[in-house]
Amino acid sequence: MKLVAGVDIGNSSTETAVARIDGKHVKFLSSGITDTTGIKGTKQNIHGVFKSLKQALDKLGLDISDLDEVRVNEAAPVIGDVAMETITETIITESTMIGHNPNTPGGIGIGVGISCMIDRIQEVEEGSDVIVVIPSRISFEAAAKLINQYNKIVKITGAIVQRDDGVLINNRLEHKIPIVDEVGMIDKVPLGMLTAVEVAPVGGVVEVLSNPYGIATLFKLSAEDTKQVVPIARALIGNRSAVVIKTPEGDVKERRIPAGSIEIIGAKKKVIVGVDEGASKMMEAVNSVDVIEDIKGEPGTNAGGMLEKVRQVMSSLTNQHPKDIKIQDLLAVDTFNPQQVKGGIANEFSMESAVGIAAMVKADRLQMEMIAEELTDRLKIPVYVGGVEADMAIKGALTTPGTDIPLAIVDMGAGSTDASIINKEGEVKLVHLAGAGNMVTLLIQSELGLEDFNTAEEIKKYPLAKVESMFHIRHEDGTVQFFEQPLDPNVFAKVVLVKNGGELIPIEGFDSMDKIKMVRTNAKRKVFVTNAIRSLAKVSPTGNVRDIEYVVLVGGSALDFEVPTLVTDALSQYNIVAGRGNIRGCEGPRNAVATGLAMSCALTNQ
Amino acid sequence: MAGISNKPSIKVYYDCDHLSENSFLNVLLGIEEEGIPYEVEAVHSSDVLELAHEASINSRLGVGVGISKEGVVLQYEKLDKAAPLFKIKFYQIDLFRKIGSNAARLVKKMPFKSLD
Repeated sequence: MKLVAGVDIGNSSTETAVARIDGKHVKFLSSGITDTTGIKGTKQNIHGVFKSLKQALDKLGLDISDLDEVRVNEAAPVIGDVAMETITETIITESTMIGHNPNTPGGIGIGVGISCMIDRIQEVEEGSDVIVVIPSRISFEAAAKLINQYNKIVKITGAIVQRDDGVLINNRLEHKIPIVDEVGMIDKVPLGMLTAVEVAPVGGVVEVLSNPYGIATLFKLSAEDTKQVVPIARALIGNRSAVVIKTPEGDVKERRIPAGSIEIIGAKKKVIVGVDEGASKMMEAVNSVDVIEDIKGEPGTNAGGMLEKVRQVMSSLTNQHPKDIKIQDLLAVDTFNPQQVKGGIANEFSMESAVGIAAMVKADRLQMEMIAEELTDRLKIPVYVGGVEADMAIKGALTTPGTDIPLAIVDMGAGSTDASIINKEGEVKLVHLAGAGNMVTLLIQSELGLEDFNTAEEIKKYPLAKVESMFHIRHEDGTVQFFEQPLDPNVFAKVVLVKNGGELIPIEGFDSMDKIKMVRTNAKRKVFVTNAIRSLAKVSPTGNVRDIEYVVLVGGSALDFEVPTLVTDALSQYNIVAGRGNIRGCEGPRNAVATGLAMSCALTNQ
Repeated sequence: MAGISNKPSIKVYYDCDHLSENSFLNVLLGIEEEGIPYEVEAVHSSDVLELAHEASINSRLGVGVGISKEGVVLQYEKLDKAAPLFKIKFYQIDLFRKIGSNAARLVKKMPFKSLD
């Protein structure tokens, strides 16, 4: 009889399984889980191991000194990192458009005229068309009075207002004009220039200024000039109100940033592919090389910088020379990224194309031995580096009720997606691929334009709801939940995250629940469905996913509320039985490796 | 108390013994900018919670604003009289437009402007 613990140090969590071993018989007593301290495979992990062990032992009223043996995973020495590069950029060299969406613009329709400060209309030639510019120092009453007064001399066809006064001004006008308000940097509006203002009716979007030919008609543009305004029109699509100003040197450019190329180096061949060819071309190239030895980016380009950054991070973490860090897999995903338009007036954003990249690096195995040695020292009990992680994971996964060999597992973690397969003879084959939970978070962060990684992480983790009244919310699946106490005014009418305890976290910004949900689900699909299929194809005995019958999903990301169903659904199209694992019939998809490690103590004891 | 109008609108009840309509014009402008109709009624009461509560009950939209020397209170008919949605002091003049906007936004079901 002896008491053993298996400890699995993962990218994001450190898991423990404590078991009592009696000859061949293994009886599991408790489990522990804490956040991994430091990066997986480094000495900083030791704190997390301590905490995780203590957590499991405390449940039993035992102490670390009661343990006879501890096994840590060989830590499939892979570390994943993610990077994002925008490949297009919109620059306004001379301010020419205001494409923002005030909540309450005034009036309706479209007006064209020469831009003019409201207190200088008297200087304008009689009878000409004028767009008035109203800075915050002029009250809505004064502005309305001036417009009514001068409309008899010149023709005022629209207004650009700094304060949130659009409706107030409009309500006091004799002749209604389109008014765009809440234009923060009104000083930047060029004066004396031909200007167009458009406000769509409630529920509508601008139709003239979002159409290149619409702008061409208003400004009498040549075919060549019309080509130039395409990025403006594009940036205005979907807005309820917009302003376009024609300045002589005015120029809006959509620039393609030279993204560079990546070079995939295999044993027998090299493939070079341009990043701006998009993710699918890049993945085609990656998949065409059987065993990847290293992946390099073109020096001096974004692609080069992106991969070098990953290499640098890895080298500083593992104390290896950057030259010795080999990138062994790469997952590229097409995405987009709302970027502030350079030179805009009202914080205009433009959706730019981007490529997200996850890279995976094989690190040094010795680091784990070092951790084991140090742990032995501190715990005063033998700590071993257990068998290959994939073997352990399969051993653990097989404790899921209803499974038997041959079996494949897909381990979806935070940093990498790993697949392994065990055949009837008990042989195990495995693969580690780049791209997992962290990549999903990065995509969500980029596509929703969030500043903060943690907000994206929470959007990934928790389902959404919309607060529809002071007393009820509608969940993203359409069900309604009532509350007896009025909800916090801070969440009223907002899209919120519903945390496990029922706590509601408001999401700031104007994205609808449907849009956030779509971005979230697509990000998960782009990473996990792609990687599940990619990894299973690599471990399949025939190279074909269809020749695998049973797949168990394990790892932290298998706990996600929708990832397992997305993967199960996708794999069912290949006639694969796939589902979330339930380790030892009670742990869910967690603890597979730790369980396998503890079990391995019994096997070597015989 | 004040008469009941049939039009759906936000009701604004104010203490006419101590205030004039001009003193809280910005609250009304806040509602107007958001495009929701309102009706102002003069009431002989200085209890701002009572004013707001009565206003909300008499509003067909269920949204009422009470104004007295104590301050400005935004109330919703389904809330407890003593626990209104928003309450500001009368000297916080710079928040008048915002609390007016919020009254309209309660009707429009839009996120509130922050009063902090």
